[in-house]
Amino acid sequence: MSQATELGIWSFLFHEARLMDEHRYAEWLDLYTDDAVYWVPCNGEGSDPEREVSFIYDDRARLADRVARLGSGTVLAQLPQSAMRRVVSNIEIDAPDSGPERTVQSNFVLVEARGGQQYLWAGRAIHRLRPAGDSFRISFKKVVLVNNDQEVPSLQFLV
Amino acid sequence: MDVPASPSRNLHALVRRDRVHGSLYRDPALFEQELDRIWHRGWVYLAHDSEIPAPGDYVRRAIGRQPVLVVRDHDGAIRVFFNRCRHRANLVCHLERGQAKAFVCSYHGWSYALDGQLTGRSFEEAYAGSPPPDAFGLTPIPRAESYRGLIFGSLSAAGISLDHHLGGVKEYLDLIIDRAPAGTVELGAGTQKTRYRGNWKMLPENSLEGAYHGHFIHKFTFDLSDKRIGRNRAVTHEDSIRYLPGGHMVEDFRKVELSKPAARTPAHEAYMEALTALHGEARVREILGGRTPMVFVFPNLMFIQTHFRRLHPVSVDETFVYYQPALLKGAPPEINREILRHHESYFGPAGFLSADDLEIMERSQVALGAEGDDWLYIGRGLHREKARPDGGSAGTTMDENHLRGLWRHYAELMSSE
Repeated sequence: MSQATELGIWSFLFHEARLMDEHRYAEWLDLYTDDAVYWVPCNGEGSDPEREVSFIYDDRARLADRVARLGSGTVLAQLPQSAMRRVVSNIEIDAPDSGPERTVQSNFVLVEARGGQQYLWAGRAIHRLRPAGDSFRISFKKVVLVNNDQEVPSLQFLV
Repeated sequence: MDVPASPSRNLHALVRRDRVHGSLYRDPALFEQELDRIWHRGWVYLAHDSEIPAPGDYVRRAIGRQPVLVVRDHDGAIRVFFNRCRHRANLVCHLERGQAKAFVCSYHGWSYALDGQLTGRSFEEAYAGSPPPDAFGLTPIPRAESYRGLIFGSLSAAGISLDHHLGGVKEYLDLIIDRAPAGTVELGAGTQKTRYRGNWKMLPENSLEGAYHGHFIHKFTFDLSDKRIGRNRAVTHEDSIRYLPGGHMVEDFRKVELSKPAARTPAHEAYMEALTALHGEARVREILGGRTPMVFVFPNLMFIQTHFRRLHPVSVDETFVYYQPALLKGAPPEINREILRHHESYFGPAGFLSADDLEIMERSQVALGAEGDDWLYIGRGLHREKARPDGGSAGTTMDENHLRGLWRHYAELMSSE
């Protein structure tokens, strides 16, 4: 893999993280392909979302509903919006398989400040990135939160 | 103030016909009294059959503050034990769910069969002078019974049967469970676990009055879905809010009409055919007509259509909530897939509805710190509340007659000796 490709992937993930931290919903949604799947399992790693419940298992249409709601200014748990910053690291770019897409794994640590409390979230993200112009779009994203089998407070922001 | 100095001694003074006192959500002494009079005496929902389908399958649960173990024995029977080694009190099972051939205490290695019998004391020769092993089996909880796969436990040997406790709410449980062509729902598809900093009683109150608060805290989500299915929430129905003796509540939406019902796919046709063959057309209309009822089974189980929620009271101001989709056994995979996706879109910490509820309950708990006029008003629809022959009550959409019934029942339990 060229250094340019590697840097391109890194900066793409950092850009996505910034959009999530700053509640820039429309720009974030634009990163996703029309056939995208966005998956946040509960009860561990997640095996088969067709047979098991997840926290989130969105196709593009539901993802659009999700960000429309989050951006509507009516979500009680987001009045005011969470202040967030996350660090994305431990980025591993898998060897390319047959198609043009690349699978990228990364860890994140996220601090959320909301309603007089501070919440610490962490997890591993798996992106499938599809080349688009001189950048990428996300065709699949899975986020495995480390505490997804524990009793968690509300998760009304983007991970 | 006209509140007695020792409120825990006189609950009837805190629960009036049309209002309840703020201390009921806030007083740690009352929470302790609830553990004793409600959680450690009455029937508490524990788990569903389908979560432990095979011999050796188990789940850990709690009844109030007491840890229990729900396990399927070799003969298929469900057994519920206190999760406590008979030696010196360690958890005989510390994992939340799983499959076991036997339960071995981690501390000193005492082992138990699935039926609770002690099968081994480590270094047995030293117990030569002790009571025999059969004196040290796991202690079963006093009573465990099931209704249509729903497993309940009671820590009291005496008291009414589960059948008596459920009473009229069985009719509504049947309505939901009968949606499954194989006659049972399946809760093995996982659990979304959440928490809120608020009193446990807020959850049933909130869960069964969405028709009212939904206009305010769920407006965006309701508008989104109502537009698609053609539901007019301004229309109200008489006899749709019910209180049932035993502390149970129902929001019956079967009279709701949709102007744009969802299109039917071949999977829906196959499902309807299977259901009609089983129950006949009239019953199927009842099961699937309008919107499915929402049901609260006192004190900790809620059905919101085919979505379960189970609550666990942690302390006077903290509650855990467990959301589980109830899949319909025997239905085409597409139908169950719809239930999963529907569940995720509305429930759990990332859902379009639940998070609003968790937030509003936390705000209520903060507000309850203000003791100026320390009463909550639950008098909506009092003038038109109708008594039901079973001793319950009926009200119109958005009325609070079911909450009044719940609190009356609560006061009786809390005042019992």
